[in-house]
Amino acid sequence: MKRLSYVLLAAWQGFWRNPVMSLASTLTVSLMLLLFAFFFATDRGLQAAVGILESKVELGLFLEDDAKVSDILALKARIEADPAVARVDYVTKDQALARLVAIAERRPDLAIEDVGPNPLPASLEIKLARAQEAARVGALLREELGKGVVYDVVDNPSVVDKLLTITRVLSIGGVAVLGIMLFVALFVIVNTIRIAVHARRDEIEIMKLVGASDWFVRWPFILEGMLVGALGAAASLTVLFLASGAVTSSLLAFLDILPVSFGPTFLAELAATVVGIALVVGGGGATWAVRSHLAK
Amino acid sequence: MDGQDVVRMRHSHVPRLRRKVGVVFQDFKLLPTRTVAENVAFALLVTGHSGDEVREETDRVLSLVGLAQRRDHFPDQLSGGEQQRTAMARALVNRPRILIADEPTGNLDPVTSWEIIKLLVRVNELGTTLVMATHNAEIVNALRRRVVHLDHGAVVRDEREGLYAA
Repeated sequence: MKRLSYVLLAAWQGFWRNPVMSLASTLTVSLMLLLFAFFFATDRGLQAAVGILESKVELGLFLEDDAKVSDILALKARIEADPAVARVDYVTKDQALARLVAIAERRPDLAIEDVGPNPLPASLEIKLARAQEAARVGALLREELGKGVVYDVVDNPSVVDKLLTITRVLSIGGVAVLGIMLFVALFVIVNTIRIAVHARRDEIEIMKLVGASDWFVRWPFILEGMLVGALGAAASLTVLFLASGAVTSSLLAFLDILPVSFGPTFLAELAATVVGIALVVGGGGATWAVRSHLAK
Repeated sequence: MDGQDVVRMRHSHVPRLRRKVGVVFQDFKLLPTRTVAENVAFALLVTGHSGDEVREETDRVLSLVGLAQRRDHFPDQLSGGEQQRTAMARALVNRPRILIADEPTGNLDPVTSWEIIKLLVRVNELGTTLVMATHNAEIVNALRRRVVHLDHGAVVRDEREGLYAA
């Protein structure tokens, strides 16, 4: 107990012995953690968006009005055999018209006049199990053009491609920026602890002289580093929670009407990761700083 | 030392060895921000001793060196001899097998030096091996103990009841 309180007190005193340096490193750590949290949240949001969009990727085949039903069903069976395809729905001309009417009733800006003979084509709607294969399946379907059944292929996977590209760029860029920030934070913490060690070098010398173990000398400084990390985490999480409402709404607006959800444990996960990183960076930096001094 | 090879020993075992060796220096090496009692107790605290033990042992060595009355003074408020006695109390509080005194009287006037020497002799009589390095011929000649004469790091003379210069 006495040892524990001694170590805790020494760490606390060490922090305030050089407040400018300690607060500077706390600020650096909290900035790094804020950046981390930003990338963490953005990456999560984009991944959720990609997931939703992928589940919505569809290919459509517009069918000739005079195609035989037996040919259509044979084509449907062939497409369903492809492992990348989840489901194929056959939409007849009448069903297509019924859908358009239903949409028009909900949209005041659209009005269906008497359209005479049904101008809408029948179609096959193809839901994909694996969105990445949209291009291959699309090319395959295009081979059916001009064989008397299919007159047009509609595929629009570019949205997914773009989102995947954004996600990739963001995570690579994020990792790079975070790496630099991590380096800066470590550097500042190492120097803060070095100064703390230097300020107490007489005390350390006597501690070692009377037979204190290396760990006994080390712990106050490691705790001081972890204190810097913990305060940085607290600061960044405070900013994060204060700003989270505005950020979330603007992020949702950015992703438009997609029903993106981060999941119920997201905030707890984010907070735990931020605190974990802070403690590891603080403690690790301090261990590094003390190491060279104790080797003497 | 004490059945241990001190030349080839693991780094992590050095602290345990140091607890068996008390050291006193020419420049005392006291912590200026701590009182006499705190300076002595420091040696016990950092080696993992707890409350009651620390108080008892601190009181014991402080009365041994005659500083019980000065326990709450800071090093700046003490004379050189008192500071050296504080350093001796700190060196002795872990009950070392050996006390190494590196020029313990180097910064002290002759009268105070004798006080310290008398104290060292008493510690020795209580059963602690004492190794003292000194340039003070008067002290060496008066004590007439074993003298090891070093010259540029080499032993040139070792006498059971030696004098400063043969």
